[in-house]
Amino acid sequence: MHASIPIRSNPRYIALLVGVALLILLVGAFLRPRARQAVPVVPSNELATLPDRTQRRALRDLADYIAQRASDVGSSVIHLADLGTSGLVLAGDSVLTAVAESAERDAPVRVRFLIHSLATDSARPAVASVEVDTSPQWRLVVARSPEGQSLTLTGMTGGAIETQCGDFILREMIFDAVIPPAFAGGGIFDLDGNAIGLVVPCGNRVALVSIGEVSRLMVLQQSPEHRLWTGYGFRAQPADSTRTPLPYSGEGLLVTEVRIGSLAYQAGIRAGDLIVRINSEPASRVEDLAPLFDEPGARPLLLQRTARGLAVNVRSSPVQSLPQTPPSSSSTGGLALTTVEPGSKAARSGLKPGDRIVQVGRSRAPTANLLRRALSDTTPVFLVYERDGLQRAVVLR
Amino acid sequence: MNELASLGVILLLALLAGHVAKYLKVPEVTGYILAGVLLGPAGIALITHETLESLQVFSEVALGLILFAIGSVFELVRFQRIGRRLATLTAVESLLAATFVTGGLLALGQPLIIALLLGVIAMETAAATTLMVMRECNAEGPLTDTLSGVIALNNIFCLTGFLVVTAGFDLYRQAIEGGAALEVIYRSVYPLIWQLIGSVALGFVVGVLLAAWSSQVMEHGEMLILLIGAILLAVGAAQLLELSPLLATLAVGATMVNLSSESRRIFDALAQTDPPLYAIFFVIAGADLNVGLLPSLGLIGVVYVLGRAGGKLLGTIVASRRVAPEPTVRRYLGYAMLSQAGLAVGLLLAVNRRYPELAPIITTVVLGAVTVFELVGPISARYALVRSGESKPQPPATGLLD
Repeated sequence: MHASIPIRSNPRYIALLVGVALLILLVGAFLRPRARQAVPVVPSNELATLPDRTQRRALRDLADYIAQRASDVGSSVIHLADLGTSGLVLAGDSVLTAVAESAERDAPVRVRFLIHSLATDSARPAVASVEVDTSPQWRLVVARSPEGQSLTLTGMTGGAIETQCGDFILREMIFDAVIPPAFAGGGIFDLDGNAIGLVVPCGNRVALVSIGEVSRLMVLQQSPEHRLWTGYGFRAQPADSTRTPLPYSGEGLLVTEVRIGSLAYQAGIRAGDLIVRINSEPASRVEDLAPLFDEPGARPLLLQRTARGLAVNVRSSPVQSLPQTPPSSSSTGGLALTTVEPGSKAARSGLKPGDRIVQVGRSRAPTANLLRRALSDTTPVFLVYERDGLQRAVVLR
Repeated sequence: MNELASLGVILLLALLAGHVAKYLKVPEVTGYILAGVLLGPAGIALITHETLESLQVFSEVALGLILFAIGSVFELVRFQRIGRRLATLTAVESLLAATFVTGGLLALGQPLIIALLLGVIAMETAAATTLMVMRECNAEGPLTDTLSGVIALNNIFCLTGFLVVTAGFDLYRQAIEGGAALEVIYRSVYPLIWQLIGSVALGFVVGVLLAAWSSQVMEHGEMLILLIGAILLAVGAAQLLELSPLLATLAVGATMVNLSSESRRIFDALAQTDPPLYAIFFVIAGADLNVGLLPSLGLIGVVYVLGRAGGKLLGTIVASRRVAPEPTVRRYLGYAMLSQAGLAVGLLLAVNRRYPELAPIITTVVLGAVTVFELVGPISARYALVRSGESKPQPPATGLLD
């Protein structure tokens, strides 16, 4: 009773208090620690090339692609069909989920990350951080710095380095925090919800594929060379007389590399063979092998291995079923190199101890003597060797 | 469904749920919350996460109004009389809840920081839920008076405790890892002081504005405009300045009740007009509950739930032995204080932001426990009010006509 009445009846006292309060607010607000300035990071050069829908499709395609092809990269990439859900998933589905939602088909994708474990941490320097939404519950947690090299999961600092995983050239993400082993990967989006990359697990590491790499892979995926390699497990290139030990008639594709255990290997194709006919049509360019990619079914290939021809049937495969590479132990024949003298012809051509020579010149059962003679000879010599489950044809000069 | 349509459905369903709740003799709040669970992402998903987010503004306004109303317990005359007792009660019950939870988690082998953070979060009692049950019961008496004071203080204690623990943790981590000491002290201690003093200062300024203006305003409608405007201003400015909207609106209410002779009128105006807002608030709160988390609560969650409930019950009994002579207070206050929401969830978000590495476990426990306490709390609060004999039948609804 005694305290409240004088306050209520004394406007000057209240005015003074209000002044003090305002002063506290002004000074306090001015001095308070602020969240660090976010650097706007939209890799515009990459984004500008890709309109919204293309981006979405590209990301989805890439996710499919990696899931199908890259058995060694790990196929746990989140499926982006219709973009119902995508994004980073840490430790199952309970910790960090990114949701990409689009009400209408043509509307820009809105991407939001529900923060449970990752958010801006003002106490730590962030290379770059972006918030996708002003509401505190939703944050974009991954962004790229303007240099295009660093990458920040806000709350962690780290970067990305160029690396390779299987056939893919990736940027590997390195962080000061432990990334749970259950990391599954997903899309990375910018402020506007545009896809700027994909995160994929790569062994025990986590790697980032930029959208540029997406495009490259898309193009690569369509190339016959790549499809031969990933679908059938062999590489071929136009032959010429200097690169094959066989009588060369001006046509044919030289098989330069075969993955042991692949469809091609099972069908009987070996490195060093010449593919001369497919479906009875002459084959002299890689594009001529296009029938292999048409419909499922057996494709007769005419190979030339000896002076006589050899016909094999290569069973067409759906591209998805990449055969697993068995270890090189499946082949036992040939001569194992024990030492390779530095500076020698063999060393210059990249042969290493442990390589298994299965063909020297035309001989498919080379003896040690024959190999020694061929290696000491000054004339070019055709060799087929096996290493790491691959058969390769080389010409030593 | 767009926001307006969902809002309509929310209101109508809330009404229905309120009727059902009355029929079943459980608090309307429980009905609203269950309706929210049903409509929300965990139920038939009529309210999606998206809708929840855009309706968040309603929640903020409603919570602001609720805390404004609670702020009226800080009337100096009254507070001088019962302040000591409120402070003792609050301190004992919240410290005991925190101690039980922290101790239990440490016994389970949890890291100290997780145990401490969960401990301070366990201190909180949901102001909004409790107040709504009190209103619904039309409760009056020593238990009701004590309860409204304790929940107001409780939230302040909890926020302070949280700020102290996080500041301490930051400093400890800095001492271990090294780094610019001054910078860390600034970043960890400043928010503590700023949130407490700044929020009160903001609330005071807005409160003075409200008090000065309210004497010029005669009409009921104008009074409401003034009130809601002032609350929105306080909540918005608090968010802008990174203050605590909760403390700020509480301070608005406290300032108002002390400075203005109009305060009775304004609190009455509020009580007549805000039910739709509160219905929305609790349905949204229900939709936000993570019922799916309940099975994953685990042993830690059970310890949290039991420790908190035990601490609150035991704490109120022990403390009221000293300071509150009324047997109703001693016997029932603890039961009325079990609800948990609001600030606990707010603190959880702060934990997620500051310590992402701790987030998974704390998120699961707190969200799961909030679900439990929001379902049990109102029922137990109603039980306390009814059993204590302070619940009175509602007067006939003539409010809008006079």
